[in-house]
Amino acid sequence: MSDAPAIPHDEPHGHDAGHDDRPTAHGTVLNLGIHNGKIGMWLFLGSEVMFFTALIGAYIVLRFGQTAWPEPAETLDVPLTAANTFLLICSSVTLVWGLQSIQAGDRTRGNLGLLLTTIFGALFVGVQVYEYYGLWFGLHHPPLRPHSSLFGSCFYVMTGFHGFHVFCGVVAMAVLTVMGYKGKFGPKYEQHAAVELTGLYWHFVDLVWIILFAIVYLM
Amino acid sequence: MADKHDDHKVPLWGMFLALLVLTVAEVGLYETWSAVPALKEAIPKYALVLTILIFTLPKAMIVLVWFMHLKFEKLFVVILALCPFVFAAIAVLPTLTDVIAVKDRSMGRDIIKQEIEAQRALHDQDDEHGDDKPDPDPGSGDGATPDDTPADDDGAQTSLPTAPWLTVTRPA
Repeated sequence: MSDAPAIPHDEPHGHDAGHDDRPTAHGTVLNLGIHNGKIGMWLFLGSEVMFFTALIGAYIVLRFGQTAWPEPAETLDVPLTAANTFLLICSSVTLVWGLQSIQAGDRTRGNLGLLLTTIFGALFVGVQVYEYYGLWFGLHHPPLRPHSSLFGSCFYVMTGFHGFHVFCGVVAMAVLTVMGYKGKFGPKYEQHAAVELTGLYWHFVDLVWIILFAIVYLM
Repeated sequence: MADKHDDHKVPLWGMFLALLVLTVAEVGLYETWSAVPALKEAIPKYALVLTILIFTLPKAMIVLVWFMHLKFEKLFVVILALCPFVFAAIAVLPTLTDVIAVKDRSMGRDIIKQEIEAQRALHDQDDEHGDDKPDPDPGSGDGATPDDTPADDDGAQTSLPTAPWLTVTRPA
């Protein structure tokens, strides 16, 4: 039998309660008043931070260690990607708007927020595919391919992995949108935890892009 | 258990406007810098990079603090969220010393040029005394240069091998 003190059932658990913090066969779950899913998502995002740090750190060392490096404005389509950055920022805003609407009990606006987020995310991926096409075949500048140069391989690895993350996020957002229109979400935390946790992932992807855009396209 | 999110409202449109303005500012700054040659000469690249980072940091903070709700989270979640960034900084910053070392290459070349000139002066001095000893360092590339032909800066830079400090030896 566990020595852990009994947890009163009427204890306020904060806004994201709904977790099971009772003693279990494998020990006692911490009584932090934090949803287990949220802890899990932040741990996952921590591993993602390290993953992108490896890529960005390697790029910084390679980029600033070289005496000669292609100027991004002469190689990449910076205005197009700036517009794409704007799309991703818009998607983050619509997601926060949608989540706040769901929390306020406004399903119509909540679902619209999720739908807009999915659309903006899909547009981002579409523009990135178009950008790759233009770079690969040299529509605006000399072709840039992974084997073209050190910059080329770094560029495709970093933006490619990020684009894959966005693609996964778009799929998740599409699923959430369908669930929303089926009336699966409500104002209680347990009823919209999936939106909040997926939103954490989505905003993280946005955060990574803000840093990637500055480092790869503007430096 | 109903949630109390009324006090967790994100100032959505203010944040959106801030992100938009900062993005336009950094892109405008970079595009202007790369399009105007006079600016390119006047403002060094590292100053531009630092300025862009100054614009990027608040953008990242807005997303992290407001959109990801860190502002409203319990301390445990905040620590959980920030730890990876601290480890990331610990992992990346020491490797930047390597960047500085590589950047020192140009400074190293200056030192090597001075050494080569010292060698040449020594060689001239020996010639004046009638000593016809061979060049002490024929591998450096400058020993073969005629004494009456001063090597210009660019010539010395391009004639140096990739890692010149490994091949230059001090005169005995």
